[in-house]
Amino acid sequence: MFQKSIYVILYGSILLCFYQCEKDDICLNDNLDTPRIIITFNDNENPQRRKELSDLSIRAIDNEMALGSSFRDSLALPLHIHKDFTQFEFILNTGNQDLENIDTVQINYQRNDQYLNSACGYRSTFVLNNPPAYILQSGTNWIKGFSIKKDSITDETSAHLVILH
Amino acid sequence: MKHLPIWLFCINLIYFHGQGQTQAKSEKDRKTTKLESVPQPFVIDTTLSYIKALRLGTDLYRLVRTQADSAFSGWEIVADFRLKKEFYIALEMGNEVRSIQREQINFTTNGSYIKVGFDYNLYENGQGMDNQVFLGLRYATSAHSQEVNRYLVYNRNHYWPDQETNRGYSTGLREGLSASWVEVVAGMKVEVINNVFMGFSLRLTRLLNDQKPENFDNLYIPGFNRKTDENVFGANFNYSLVYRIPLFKVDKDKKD
Repeated sequence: MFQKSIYVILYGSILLCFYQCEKDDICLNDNLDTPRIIITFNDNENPQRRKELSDLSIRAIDNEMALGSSFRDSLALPLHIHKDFTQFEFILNTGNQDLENIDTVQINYQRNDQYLNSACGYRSTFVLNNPPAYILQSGTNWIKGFSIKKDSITDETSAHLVILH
Repeated sequence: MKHLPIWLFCINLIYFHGQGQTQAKSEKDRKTTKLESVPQPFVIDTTLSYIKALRLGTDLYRLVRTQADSAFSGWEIVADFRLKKEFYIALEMGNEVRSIQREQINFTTNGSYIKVGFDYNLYENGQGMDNQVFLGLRYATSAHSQEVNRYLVYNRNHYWPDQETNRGYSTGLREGLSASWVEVVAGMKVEVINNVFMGFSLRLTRLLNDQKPENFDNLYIPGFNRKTDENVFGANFNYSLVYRIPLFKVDKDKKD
């Protein structure tokens, strides 16, 4: 009896040593993370209709990393979570010296953090301010206006911001 | 630091080993004296008598860890009362402050707990010995708070540099939380010096309910140990050093 009990407790104690490593140490969340903002480009005369752009490319202010180019009528942009705004340069007709037109846009939002689980921790969601964005420079802007499609940015399934041009 | 429980465990085993050897010897001695001595008609059956006592002590693991680990501070009082020969009413109460760094979150749990239940001794002692190998049950409850110190937002898009959030947003203190759970206890206690017992116990726990902090979770509960996302089970342990306060001796009571 005594011997048996010792073995049971010994075995239990060894199990306890391995207890430190468990499944929820690994973040396996596939679909819920911090969403990007989805922007569509619509016709200024007919705001409900998408309007394609020619040779649009995007640069973020304060970040050299490329965001991609040759967008057609919608795109997803990462927002800076440690600021309540992010600035982008929207470059129309990239590479064409005569027609190239750069509009610098500031997108304004508020951030909230949502708890997911112990391994993934928190993700950020955003709420767009009103007005959601403005153009930082004056002159001949190709962007004519902004409108909010969905002010809470919680996923990447539908558009949040519409840029009219 | 991670090896500390293993070391304490080894020390306990050494104690046990020594104890077991002396016990075997004394049993042998007793058998031989019994055979040689002439049977007497009015001898009290000493195997049924026991000392009714209150035992009070402390958990050593939490005390040592408080000294060794800057992220932990805590204590636990251990007490039991011998109700019948093999049946003890048991109680543990304590306080823990622990900071934990998880993959994305750093948080501090602060709180107290109390565990009430019983132990049943399975070990057959020789004459004059009071060692224990026991199984028991506890009902436990805690009152605690959770504070999120800092965290890294989960973001698979690494365009902007990842940087910890250490104030505002979802950081901060969540107070007035509670949890309750049951524990199945297995352990042993050995008398190392007269009236001084050393022992340890392993506890497998099942959470009954916990009041979740706002926009966070009870990832650690004082007295319960870590809580996992997937299930309600957990485990914890203690190493106790207790002093027995003998109250009186109960002689031959067949009802026990």
